Order: sequence, then structure tokens, then C-alpha cells
Amino acid sequence: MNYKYFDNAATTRVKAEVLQAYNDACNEFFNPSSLYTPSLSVKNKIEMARESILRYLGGANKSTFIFTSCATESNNAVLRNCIKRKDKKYIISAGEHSSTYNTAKAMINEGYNIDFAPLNEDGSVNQEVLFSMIDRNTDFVSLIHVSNETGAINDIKYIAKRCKQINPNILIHSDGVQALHKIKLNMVNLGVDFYTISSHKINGVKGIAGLYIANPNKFTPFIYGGGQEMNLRGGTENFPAVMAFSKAINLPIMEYDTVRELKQTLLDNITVPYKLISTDKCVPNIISLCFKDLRGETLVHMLEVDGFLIGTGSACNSKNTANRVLTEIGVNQDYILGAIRISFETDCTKQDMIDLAYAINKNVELYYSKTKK
Amino acid sequence: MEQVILIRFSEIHLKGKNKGYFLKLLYTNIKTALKEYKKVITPIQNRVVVSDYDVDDEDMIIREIKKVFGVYSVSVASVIPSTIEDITDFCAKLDISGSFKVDCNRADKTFPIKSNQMAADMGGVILDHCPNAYVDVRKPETVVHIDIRENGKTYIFDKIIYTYGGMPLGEYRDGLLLLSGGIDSPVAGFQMAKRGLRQDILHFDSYPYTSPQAREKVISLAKQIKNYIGCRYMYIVSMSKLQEEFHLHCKEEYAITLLRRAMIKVATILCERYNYKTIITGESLGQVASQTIESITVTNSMAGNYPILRPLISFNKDEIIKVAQEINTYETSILPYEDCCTVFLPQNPVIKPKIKIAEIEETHIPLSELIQKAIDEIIVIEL
Repeated sequence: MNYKYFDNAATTRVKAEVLQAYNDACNEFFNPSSLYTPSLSVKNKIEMARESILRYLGGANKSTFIFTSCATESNNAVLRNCIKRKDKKYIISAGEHSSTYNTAKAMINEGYNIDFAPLNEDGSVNQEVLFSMIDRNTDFVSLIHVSNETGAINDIKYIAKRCKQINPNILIHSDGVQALHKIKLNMVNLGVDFYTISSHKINGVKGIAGLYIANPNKFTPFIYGGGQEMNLRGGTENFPAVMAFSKAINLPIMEYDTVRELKQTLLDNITVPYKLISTDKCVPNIISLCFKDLRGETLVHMLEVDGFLIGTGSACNSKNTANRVLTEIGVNQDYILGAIRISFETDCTKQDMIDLAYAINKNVELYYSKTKK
Repeated sequence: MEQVILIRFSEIHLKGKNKGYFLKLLYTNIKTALKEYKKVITPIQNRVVVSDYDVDDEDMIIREIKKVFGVYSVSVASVIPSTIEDITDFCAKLDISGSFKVDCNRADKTFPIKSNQMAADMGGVILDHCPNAYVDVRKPETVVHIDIRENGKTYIFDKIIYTYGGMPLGEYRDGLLLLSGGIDSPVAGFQMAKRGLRQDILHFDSYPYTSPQAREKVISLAKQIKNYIGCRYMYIVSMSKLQEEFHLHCKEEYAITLLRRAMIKVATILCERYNYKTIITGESLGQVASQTIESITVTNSMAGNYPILRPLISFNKDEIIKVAQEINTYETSILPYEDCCTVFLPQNPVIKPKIKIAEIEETHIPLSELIQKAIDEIIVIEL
């Protein structure tokens, strides 16, 4: 079946030129750590890719960028690097991606003092409460840049600045997986110490992500090995994926106006009542919507039958566990199980959005007719 | 010295005239379980011997044999000719320290020394050669088992690994197991397989109210129990339409009762069509509203002439979980994908339903038609 894809926050289609870069690199199979010339060529290309990504990110003077296997690894590496003392305080937001959130949960069980900053209604962090939580004993703050659930943007630049005013030694990490290609990034400007990005959310391949590190002296490896990645991350480099990543990151950034218009088209054409979580302050390519007394998961399957693939805000299970971030936001119980997430790129048309809206209208009504008495 | 795996049987020796049939079944099942391994399987009187296998495969082979019902225990044994000299020589070379005893079983009645005497004699030999060994017949650290068989060979071993026992899985797939995705039903299948009942699987799903992941979960459960229950086919029947109709036109508190009755009806139709003789469910008395004696009565009445076997009826939840962990289905069962029953869950399901009321409720919808339609859309998966 030829599906219309509206789940780009989950993953994106690999662009042809990215795949080409990947395939080309597969022919150069040499281990970059070996001593012969073909290996050196591979090594040089990895370094050029690294430079290209660092340049794109606008890195600081001493900064570097390491390739990792996935954003989950990057986030784990940062938390394990920055949270080391049991007498210090650490803060992450309640809206973090599971890769940060569950790592923090595990570390709380190990005895570390990690607090969760609460969220606003759109899923961004409540700044006032966050600042009130920080004191001179706080060593580390980790905040998602753009919420993968709602698209809400955290003002990392302002938050980092304020945090460092309160405590100059504080280290700031931001998970920028959903921000990359959606917001123009400059690491110096943002003022972060660590920043996570991933390739497969920007039309790259899976199996490669990375971590921006402002000062490598403040980083100890999460994975030890044969000295790869400047001794900061062991493991034979995934050369084809590195080349594909470097290609993908240099693809054009999202056109805001076009995407905003597409979002508006969709919302204008949904006639069944819904609750919109993603406000105008969110990135327009992620739309979180809730329908009353409906199961988002069922709507996902119904839309699939009609040829539309969307994400669900909450994969409900027999225990009806609602989406964690939407729960933190305080979405009403009647709505929370009916959450869906629509995320798209500029490759879809207004007509696609209208078609999707109609399919939503039809299936929500169908759902109600079958489940309500 | 040759190492073999010695397999003993459970209650087959009680089977009188049918013993030969059951032995043949067991032998075939052992052969099937070990088909991936290099080995020679030889039946001897009251034992099966696996020999000529790759020593590196030993643990895996034992693991597979443990899944064969009708096997009572397994030992890795050394084989020597059944002569007094050979056995004495072997015992003299044993390196035993601490407490021990010798246990002798003289199946070969032509062997000149009786079991007790042989055990005492060999104990003496070991004591002579192992300065740090002493005899303790009550709680020995080591037991030297000497099994003198009718084929002129003696098997000597120190460990007995007990297995599930039971009866060998039958030739024909006589049972239809209702597999949900929860913890109980795979265990129910296992328990009945232990009594020799080979089964196929019937699963009910509710797409789009449940995920394809929920279905995948049940398929992987089916694959996990395949080696135990000997299944070949899994049937998937969608209950979505029926659930919608029950929800819209019948008493809310009867939704689950009616659904379960419909499930049993579907199962009996499949029994008839594919020649299954019985239906197996994972019900445990009183576990949930639909498993009270009244609920069971009301669902049971749909089964017609087919017996519904409920091997877990007297099990506590923790006992079920223990078996599920043992057969490695627990971790899959607790994956958080919704199964068939929870979508149109009524607030207050009826605890003591009545057949009369259920039958009246069923007249509010075209039940036979909907059931027929569900069966027409059956999906059959070869596992």
C-alpha cells in the first residue's frame, strides 16, 4: 500500500543523495585505525565530516563533536558524565525523551539526587520553577530543545544563561534531536556544554547520531575502546553512516512558513472537536492533538487502513498508561488516551493535509458511532 | 571412554498393552526434538540412549530433551561393558572426596552379583582408592549410580536431571488452545501438553482496537510454546465486529460474557471444521469476573459436545507465573500490548451471569451471521 507518511518525529525517509553517500562509502571498507594509506583516506573523510557537522552547529573554540550509535547513547553518555557525585543536585525536565528520562530514573535508584522540572501546558519547561530549583549546589541541567511529543520549544539560550548566572559551574545539556533542521542552531549562541543530535530524524540513516562537546576536558568516555573519536568514544567508526550524516545535515533547513501553513490547513479542516496541545510557539511540524473519549492507538490503526501513517501520543496498554509527557502537562484524563501526533515535512502538499483532515473526521466519527451508546 | 546421555521414562511402564505405542511416540518425539543435532539415538530396554554427539552440544541437547514430555529424567553417563572387572576398574579410577554412596540397579538379572552386594563392593573399591572419601548413605555429597542394563552395558553417572515427566505428546493435534497474550493461556497449553495433548492455537484479536504488535506478541508466544505443545497452525479470528455489536445493542455488563460465549462458539466451529476434539483455556476459578463458576457455566454452554479443558482452574496466580517463567513465556506475556478483552471493557462486568439473559441479549444482534463472517475472515498462520 502506498502510505502517506505523517510520523516524521519518529523517523524520516532517507533522501536519495544521503543513500548515495552511504553506498559510496560502503566501498571504502577499510578500518580507519589501520596503518595503510586506504585507511588513512577513510580516517580523513571522517574528520572532514566531523568538521562539517561542527561547522554546521557553530561550535565553540575548543569544542568537538563525536559520533555515537544513536541519540539514546549520546544522552546516556552525557548523564553518566555529568552526574557523578551523590552530594550534588541535578535537574532534568519532566518532558525529556525516554532516553534521558529513564536514564535519570535509573540513576535516582542508584542514589543520585535528580529532580524533574515541571512543564507548561504546551510541554515546554516551566522556567520560573526551574530557576527556583537551581542553587549553587546544582551541577547539571538537561533540557530537551524541542519536545518530541508536542513540538514545544525550550528557550535554551535564555535558560542556559540564567542557569550559569545562578551557578557558573553548572553544565548544560540539551537534547536537540527534534530541533535539528527545524531551528537554526549555533552552539556558542545557545551556551550549552553538550548537545545531542541524530541523523535519522533529518533524512539520514539510522545507527548514527552524535554529541557536541564544548570542552572535551569535561568529558570522560561512556564507551571505552581502541581510542577512536579522540579517545572519547571507543568502537570502530561507522564510516558509511558518518558520510550519510554529514550529507544529511547539510540538506536545507525546514521552511517555517510553508510548514506553518500546512499545519493551519490541517487544523482548519478538522471538523470533529479536538484539543490542541501544540500551540503557535511550538515547531509547526509536530502537532499533538487529543480527542475526547477515544483511543489514539485505535485511530492510528483506522487511519492506516485509509493509507495515512501517524504517530500516537500514547501507546495505551491494558493498564491504560497514558503518555508520560502529556500526563506531566496535565492533559485531562478524558483526552489523554485519545492523543495523536502528526509530524510532517515540506514534501507534503496542502491537499495531503486536507485529505488527512477528512480521514481524521471520518474515522473519529466512525469511532464514536461504534463505541458510544 | 564413551559418554552418552541416558534418558528415562515416566509413567509409560504403567501402560500395559499400549506400552509399545507410547514408547514409539516418545522415541519419535525425542528424535524430532534433536533433529538439529548430530547424534545417534538408540532405544534400549526402558531407556533411550543418545550417543555419538558433539560434546559441545551436550547442554543444548539436554535442554531440548527436557522439553519432551514422557521423559522422566536424564543423565550424562559413562558406558562400560557389564563385567565385574570393567566396573571395578572404572570405580577404582574415580576421584571422589567427601561423603558418597554407591547406588546399583541390576536390570540385567544375568549379572552374577546382586544390586546391594555390588553397591557395597564398589563402595569398598572407592574407599580403597580415594583417601578423602567416606560413606554416608543418608546425605551423601556424591552418588555413584551404576546402572547394569540388559544390553550388556553398564552406565555409570553421578547426576540425575529431573524433567517434566508426563505423557508423550500424541501423534495428532487433538486440542485447540485459546491463546490470548496474557500469562495464563500459554501455561494452560503447556500443562495439557504435559499430559500428551498436542494442540493448535486459536487467537482472537480486535484490530483496529488493538495493535498489530499485540498480534505479533501472541505469534511469538505461540512460537515459544511450539516445542512443548507441538502446534503447527495458529488461527486468528477478529472479534471487532462482534464487540462493536455487543457494545451497541446488548447490556453493557454482559459485554465480556457475550464475547466469551462467541469465542467458544467460534472455537467449536473450528473444532468441527479441523477435527479438534477439545478446547483448552487458561481460566482459573475466581481470578476475574469472567472466571466465576457462574461465568464459566454460561460460556461452557456454548461448547456443545466439546469438552473445555481448564488445567489452571485450581492454580493461584503465583503458581501460574512460576510455570510461565519456567517455560520462558512470562516476559513476552507481560509486554504492554492490549489484548482482545480490554477494549470495550464494561465498568462493572456481571459476576454471576445467567444463561437465559445471555441468550436474550444475543437475540439483539445477528449473532450466527457475525460469527460466520468472523470465521470467513480467519487468518491461518503456519508456525
